[in-house]
Amino acid sequence: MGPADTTVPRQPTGTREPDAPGGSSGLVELDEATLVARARNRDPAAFEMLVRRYQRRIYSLCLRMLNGASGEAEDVAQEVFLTAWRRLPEIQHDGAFGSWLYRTATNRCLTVLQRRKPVDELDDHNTPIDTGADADPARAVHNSEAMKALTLALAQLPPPQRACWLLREVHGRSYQEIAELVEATPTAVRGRIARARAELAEVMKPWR
Amino acid sequence: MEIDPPRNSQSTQETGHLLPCGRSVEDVWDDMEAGRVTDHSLHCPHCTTARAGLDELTEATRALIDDPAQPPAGFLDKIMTAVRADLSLGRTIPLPAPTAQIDISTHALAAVLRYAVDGVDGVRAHQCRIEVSPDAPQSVRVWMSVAVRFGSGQVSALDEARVRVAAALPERIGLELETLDFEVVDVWLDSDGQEELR
Repeated sequence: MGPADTTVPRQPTGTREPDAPGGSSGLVELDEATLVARARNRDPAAFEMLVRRYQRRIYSLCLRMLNGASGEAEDVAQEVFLTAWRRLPEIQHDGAFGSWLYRTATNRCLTVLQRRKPVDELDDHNTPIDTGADADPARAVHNSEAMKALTLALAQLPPPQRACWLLREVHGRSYQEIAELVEATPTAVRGRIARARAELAEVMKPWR
Repeated sequence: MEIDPPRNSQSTQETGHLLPCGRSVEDVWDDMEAGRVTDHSLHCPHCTTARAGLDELTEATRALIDDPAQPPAGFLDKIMTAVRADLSLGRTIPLPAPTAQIDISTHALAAVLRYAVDGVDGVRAHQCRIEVSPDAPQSVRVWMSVAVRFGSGQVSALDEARVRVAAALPERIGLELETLDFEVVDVWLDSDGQEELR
């Protein structure tokens, strides 16, 4: 597992999230650099397309970083997008928009977690994330149980370790990008991810 | 059974997850990634157990990737409501009108001009700046950055875009075009890039 450690390529023409409706704006065929340039120029239709492209990814990251606290995750994710709108002129490269969103979302989540009381970290009132449907019922049950186990195990990891693992293994960000985000070296990031992986694999054993 | 010494002391030190056989979970992971099968890994119960856990983790991670959580209902609407409220504070320019003064937001005007340029194959409008001419209040000066498709035909495409912008202003807004400067800031290939999946 683990994608190649390369910079995430710029989204090509027509790429969008599976559930992003085309809408009537006619902007769905535009590449990300064009959308960012237009959004920086205060074009709300272009910005809306960017939000549609990234909303599931950023919300999912926040939800998992915050251990399933959906209200907090929604607040943080919305704040990330609104800050992006206001600070777009500061994002120098049109291709850096995605990185900026991931960085801001992760840092906001880490701040929220720091403010939480320690007992909240292991709050088992937070429902594990719904795993959705699967064509094979037996497999769906297995996946569901395995995903619950993984979600609970993720909640036990130290937040910076959880962030590194999620960004790398689930969101495919590069080691270099994550290192800049957490102000560490790529080697240190690899170490954190390795530790997280070993912890998670230990918890996953019963689900075999 | 012969026990291999740890292959990679650095990764063992980093992970701190030594198995009783002397190898680390990361060593097992590296073997899985590389498709390596050693005699030790085939027969070692500790490596086999670690591999089983890593297999489960891989599968559960794949399920996480394939099924990202849906944002709550109204998520996008709340963001866009705030964005549009922010826009209402933007700059406006007066439109030629016989009686009452009517202003148009420069953002809205820029959207009209971008739309005109989008109608030309091979050109994509990026940013657009609009200023009222100091000499003629019914005329505007426009600066627009654009991306063009790589290859021949950019000049004729930009010429066509210029004609469309010049036509859109009087037809749709009631203003005249005094000057229009295009700045090419990007070039794209129709077949470039690799789909971003995450």
